[in-house]
Amino acid sequence: MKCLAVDDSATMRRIVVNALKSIGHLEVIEASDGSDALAKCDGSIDLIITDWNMPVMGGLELVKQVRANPATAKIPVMMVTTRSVKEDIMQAVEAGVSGYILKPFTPQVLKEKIDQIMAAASGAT
Amino acid sequence: MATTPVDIRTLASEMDTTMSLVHALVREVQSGDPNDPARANMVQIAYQISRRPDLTGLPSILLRAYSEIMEALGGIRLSRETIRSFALDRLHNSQNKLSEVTSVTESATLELMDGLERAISLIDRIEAGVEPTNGTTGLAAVPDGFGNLRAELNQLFHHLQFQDITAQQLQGVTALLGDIERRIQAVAMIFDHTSAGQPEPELLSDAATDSQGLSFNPDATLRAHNERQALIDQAFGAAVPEPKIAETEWTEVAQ
Repeated sequence: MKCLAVDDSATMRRIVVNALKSIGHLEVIEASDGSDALAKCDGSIDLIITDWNMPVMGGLELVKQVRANPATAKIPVMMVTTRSVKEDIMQAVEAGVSGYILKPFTPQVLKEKIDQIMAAASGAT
Repeated sequence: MATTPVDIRTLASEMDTTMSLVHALVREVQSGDPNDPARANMVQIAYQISRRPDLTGLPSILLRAYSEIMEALGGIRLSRETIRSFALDRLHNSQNKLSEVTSVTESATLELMDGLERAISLIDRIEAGVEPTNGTTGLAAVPDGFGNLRAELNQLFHHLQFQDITAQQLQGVTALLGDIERRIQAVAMIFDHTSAGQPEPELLSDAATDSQGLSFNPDATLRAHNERQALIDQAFGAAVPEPKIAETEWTEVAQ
């Protein structure tokens, strides 16, 4: 499975990559913001894991753009962020976020959520 | 007894009229015959009065002074409100955030140290296991020693997430201090008569900042992490677009 890890924090990108590799997802591409992610997002990506607050283009806008493009519309997107107020969650749901994890996370939680949303995604297709 | 602006203006108007009358009277007296003994003294007094500064401008000077004093008082009032509403609460909030950064940093450091100690201990055991003099044979002495070591090291990665949280908290405090600085400068401009412009109105109003467009979340926190994640899971588990979580639950957890 090919994952796209999007975060402006280099530390967080390395942590996400490490967590993904520790749970068996060895192919990971990194992007530093939503715009960078869109440029790297093609039909080969199976899962996007993105932060919310980023420069240039944030995670929510990234999700909207991914959903708006027929070529990428069905890619599951996991939001990994510190944002947790009700309005944020509602917006994430409405934008089409597939899963939502609060930072800090453990690899175990990441695995559970990935399994859930990939199962849901394969069920939907 | 407090004097209202209407009283001041009426008084100034009366004073203006009185001064004009006095001025007219002086001119009238001056125009008389200086050789008339009955008027000589009055003419002399009128002459002396006319050499004094012209007091007819006094009412308008007083009005202008009054207006400037009122403006300054208004500025002080506005400053007090501005500082109270923008600076004090937010500085208190910043103080809490910095305390949280200290606490998060300390607890993450302790977790990292614990993890490192466990990792070192595992290495010691693995090393002892491969030591032929202790009676055991190779790695069999430490079942899944490397697996456990890998798990410990992965946990260390997990604990390093504190850096992302505290970085966002510090960015939030930095942005807040910058905002307070700009607002205090705006307040100072109210009193600065040499300044060319007036402060931007939004700097004197309570414009709540939307953090969605920021590259950091100023409200990032580790507090009530599990409870907040549970509410999020509940929201995402719902089959409807709007999360069906009671308002009170979110509010309680968010605090």
